[in-house]
Amino acid sequence: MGFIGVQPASIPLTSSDIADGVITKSKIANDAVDNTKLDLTDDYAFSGTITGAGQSLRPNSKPLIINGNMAVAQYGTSDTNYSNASLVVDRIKGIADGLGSSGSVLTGSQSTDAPTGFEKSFKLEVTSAGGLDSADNRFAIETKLEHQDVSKFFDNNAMTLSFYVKSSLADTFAVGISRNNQNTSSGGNLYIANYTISSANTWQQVVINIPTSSTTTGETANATGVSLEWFIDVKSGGSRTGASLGWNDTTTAVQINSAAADNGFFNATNTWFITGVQLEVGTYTSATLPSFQHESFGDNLRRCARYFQQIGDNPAISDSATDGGHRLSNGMRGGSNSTDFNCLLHLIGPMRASPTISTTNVNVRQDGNSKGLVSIDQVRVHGSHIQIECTADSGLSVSNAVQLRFTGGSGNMKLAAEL
Amino acid sequence: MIKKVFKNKKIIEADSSDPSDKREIFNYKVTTIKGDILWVPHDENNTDYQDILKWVAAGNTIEETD
Repeated sequence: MGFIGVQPASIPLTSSDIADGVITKSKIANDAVDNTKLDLTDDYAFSGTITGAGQSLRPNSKPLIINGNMAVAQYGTSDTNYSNASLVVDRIKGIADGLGSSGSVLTGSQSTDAPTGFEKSFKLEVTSAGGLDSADNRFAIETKLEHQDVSKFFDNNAMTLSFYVKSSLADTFAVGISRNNQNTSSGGNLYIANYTISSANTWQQVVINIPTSSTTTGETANATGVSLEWFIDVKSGGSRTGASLGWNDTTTAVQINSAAADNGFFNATNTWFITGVQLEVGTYTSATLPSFQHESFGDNLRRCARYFQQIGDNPAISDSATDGGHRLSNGMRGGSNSTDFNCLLHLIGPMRASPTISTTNVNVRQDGNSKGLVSIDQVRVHGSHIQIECTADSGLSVSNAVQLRFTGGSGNMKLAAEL
Repeated sequence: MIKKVFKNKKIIEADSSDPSDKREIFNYKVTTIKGDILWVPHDENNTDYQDILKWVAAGNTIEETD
């Protein structure tokens, strides 16, 4: 503003000098108000909903997927005969039907090949090429979630599944999300999506949006509520390659869309990697998806231990039983049968169900004498410890302590309560 | 994959100081096709036990003697 003579003194404008409505929202630049113009020590009333990147509706601070970063591998770091029901990385199981007679040999392993932000992945490798035998033969990688942990979200919300994947085969693959024991005639119990490996041997993120499923029949609390399956290949010509993309109502829980069938993965020495598996409540893109929730290794291991624990030789918990003589547990002779005894074992934490037990290089020790372990006859679960009734191969003394002992190389006791 | 299932039964004899302790216990000894031995509890929530039920439904028989 111009003036004549002495320049008038500057007087700051105050809010009372500006009539209401003069400065409209459109006259303020979009980037004009940031944290430097806000008093961040003040309280602001807020009645809206926070949405967008970084926000989620998780029930707690833990990710829904357990071991999604493939960090825990209690079963071992490699299996050169990876097949149906095989596990290497915790919570990731192989589902096979029809590989054997065609001669395909697979290796499943925990790999250090991982995308930025991750250290480990699960690697599936065809070490001897073969193929799928006949119609409906398949191979998939699966993780299962307990009904009480996840089903309520699928009942009421859209969901987003994200993962990082890499394969030597640039082709179309399928993912299936199956809701266990749900209504098979309405509401959607099997969600099918395809994804394409756009560039061979290159990590890529896949984000799949899953609309709300309205089927709510339900499963019991600690049984399988939702299964996530990454199909490597399915042979067409049967009943397992006819699903539509999206939610299906079907009694055939294991099937895919035809566009992802017959990709020939097992016809050559191909590889397939996965890590960073993330399941979120809500609908997101790769740009708005909440960051992957990295847990400490210890927290991750404790969650895996609900389904599997290996006492003894177990690199995942820095437990080595390679020196024979290490004691597994103490117990006492039980009842009046001279070969009966029972022991108490401490666990990492309570397990999902009464566990299946198997042993490698474990025997019985009493008064300096070794005896064979004939059988494990019963498991009684008491939270974080269990009582096991056992039988030795020869008589035990009354009242003297009995021990289960590792006899050397890779001695271990496995406890499995997998879904 | 199950190759053989044996019902592993055992009578826990009463201790002289606790006659009420006498009881029968059992579980299942499963031999897999790979040759692994699994001791499976009679628990409907255990998926290995569920696999035994499917294996029986497919026409197989649980053996009473090992």
